[in-house]
Amino acid sequence: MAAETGTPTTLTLKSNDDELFSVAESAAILSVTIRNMVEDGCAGGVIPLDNVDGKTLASVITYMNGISAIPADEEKKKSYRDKFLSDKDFETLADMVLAANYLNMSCLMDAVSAKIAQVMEKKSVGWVRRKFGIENDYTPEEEAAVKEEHKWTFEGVETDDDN
Amino acid sequence: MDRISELPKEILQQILYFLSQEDAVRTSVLSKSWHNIWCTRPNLDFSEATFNGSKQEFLSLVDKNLQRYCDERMCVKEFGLCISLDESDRESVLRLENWIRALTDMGTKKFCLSIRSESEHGSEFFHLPSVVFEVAESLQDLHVEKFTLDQKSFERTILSKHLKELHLENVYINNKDFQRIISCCPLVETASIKSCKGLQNIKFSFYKTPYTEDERCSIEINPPSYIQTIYITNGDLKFHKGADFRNLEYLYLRRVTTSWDHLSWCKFPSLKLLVIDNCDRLKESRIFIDAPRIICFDYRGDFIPSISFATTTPGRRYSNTRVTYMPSDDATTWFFKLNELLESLSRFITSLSIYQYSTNDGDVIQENINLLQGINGCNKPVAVESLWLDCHLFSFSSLLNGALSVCRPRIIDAFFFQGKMDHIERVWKILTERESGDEERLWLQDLEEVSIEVEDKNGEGWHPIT
Repeated sequence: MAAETGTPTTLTLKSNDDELFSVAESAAILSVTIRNMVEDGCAGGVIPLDNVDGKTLASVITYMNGISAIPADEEKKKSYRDKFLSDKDFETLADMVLAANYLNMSCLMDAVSAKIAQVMEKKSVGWVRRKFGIENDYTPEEEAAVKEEHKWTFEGVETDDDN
Repeated sequence: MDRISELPKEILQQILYFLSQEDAVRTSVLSKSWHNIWCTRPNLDFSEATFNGSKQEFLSLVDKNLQRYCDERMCVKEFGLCISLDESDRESVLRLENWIRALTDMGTKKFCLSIRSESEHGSEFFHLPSVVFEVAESLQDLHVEKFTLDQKSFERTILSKHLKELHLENVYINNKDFQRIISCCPLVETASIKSCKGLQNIKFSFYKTPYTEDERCSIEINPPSYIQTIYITNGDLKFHKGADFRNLEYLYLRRVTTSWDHLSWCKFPSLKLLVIDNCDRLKESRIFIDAPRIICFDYRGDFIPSISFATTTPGRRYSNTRVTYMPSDDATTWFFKLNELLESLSRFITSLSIYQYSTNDGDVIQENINLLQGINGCNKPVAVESLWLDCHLFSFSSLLNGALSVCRPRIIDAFFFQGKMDHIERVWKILTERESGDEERLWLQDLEEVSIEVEDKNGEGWHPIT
């Protein structure tokens, strides 16, 4: 392991579009998926990550390096995560949440999920549909029935013309 | 299909986990694929405070949701509930009991309960249903408002051993029952006490020494408080700026971090005893204690604090100050700060103890001894009752010299590890060789009388030697 030899071990990760990335093992093992491969001794050559594209993987590695450089201080880690996600659009966030899920990185998974949830918070159904481009496939009768079933959840929502 | 709806169900549920119950349920209207996603998210969270229907509707809503998890043999990993109860409302109490039992059966990991009674202020409070402490094993956060918490609330064993946060507001609880909860719930990290009647003494001793600041237990005491004693070991105590602790008489802070600046703004009109023991963070602050009736102040620590006291009422007051001289300390600064501290304690009858960590580097104070001359003239030595030195024999002379440059003790006492008779003779020489003319003995010249008493190792009493 890195700590024993004194020189940091680096791993090579390969995205599904064949981009190669070098990353310090100490940062990469934030991913339980990668950690398991390292522990099983499969990390000698290149680690293929079939479900992550190069653009997303580059972003995830930036996060790995950034967060692992912060000592055990939850406040600072949280503010790093907030800053890291602040300029990401929804498309990127969706790629990240899938990658975090595949790589089994619970801290990134939670942060991205919370960020997506934040967008939906206290918003009307119409607003959320437009924001995410969700197509309403209910018939008007069906929609009215679902609304009626959960009518208590429609109080105090930001008003919207098609709420 | 759109991007978000394409995400796997478990990811969508993870997203919904971060939403309130209302927001999560409302996603069922988005489209057909969203209809049931919310139903099996890992958590449930109901608040009567934000619910717009009737009490009956609220109860059925919680019932129905919890039942669905039971029917599908799924576990609610986290359950949050904010509810008001009334003694006359037996149904709500029964429902709550059923829910808590259901959560215990399904193995819920985290349960947060905020429970408030509707009783009018002044009338007797309703007893907190015993199911809370006796059944809710997964209870982590508990907020209780307007209840009586006594034997009836936990006649049998307290099972909620995972409690991490305890907030009591307008609760009637006596010292013994409060201690019982605290001793049965060793994981309590945060506690706040606001307007609680019956509770006069708070004693928190956290046996686990926290490794990081995050692990420190945090206690918050809000005025108006009727607390007479606060005794905290290994915790974080939050003071509100300007709070008036009108009944507080005894305040013990041992290895505590606190907002020292806020403490300076608090009023302690009844405080008699203040103990500050090894509170490291105090090093960076200057504090002011507004406690005009203080009788005794005890300080123990590895550094000299900057503390000043408000003008006090007449009467005798005592202070025990035990400070450690670290090898890294600069002698001039250290004795200067000691002098400042003794100045602020000038209205106290002070017993001063100085410890010196043994060091292999020889006599560090001796090396700085010439700098000590600089203190001369800046501040007058302060009269103290006694000076106790615990150090190596080789640094006794310079430590005593330094101490005498800033204070005038009535009695000097010393402790030498494995002290032998020849050590005592050397001390005798140090104390009596006042005529040597060495500059380093300067302060010893003020010594009026020397008499040494020795206790032998069998403790057979004191033998004066001359």
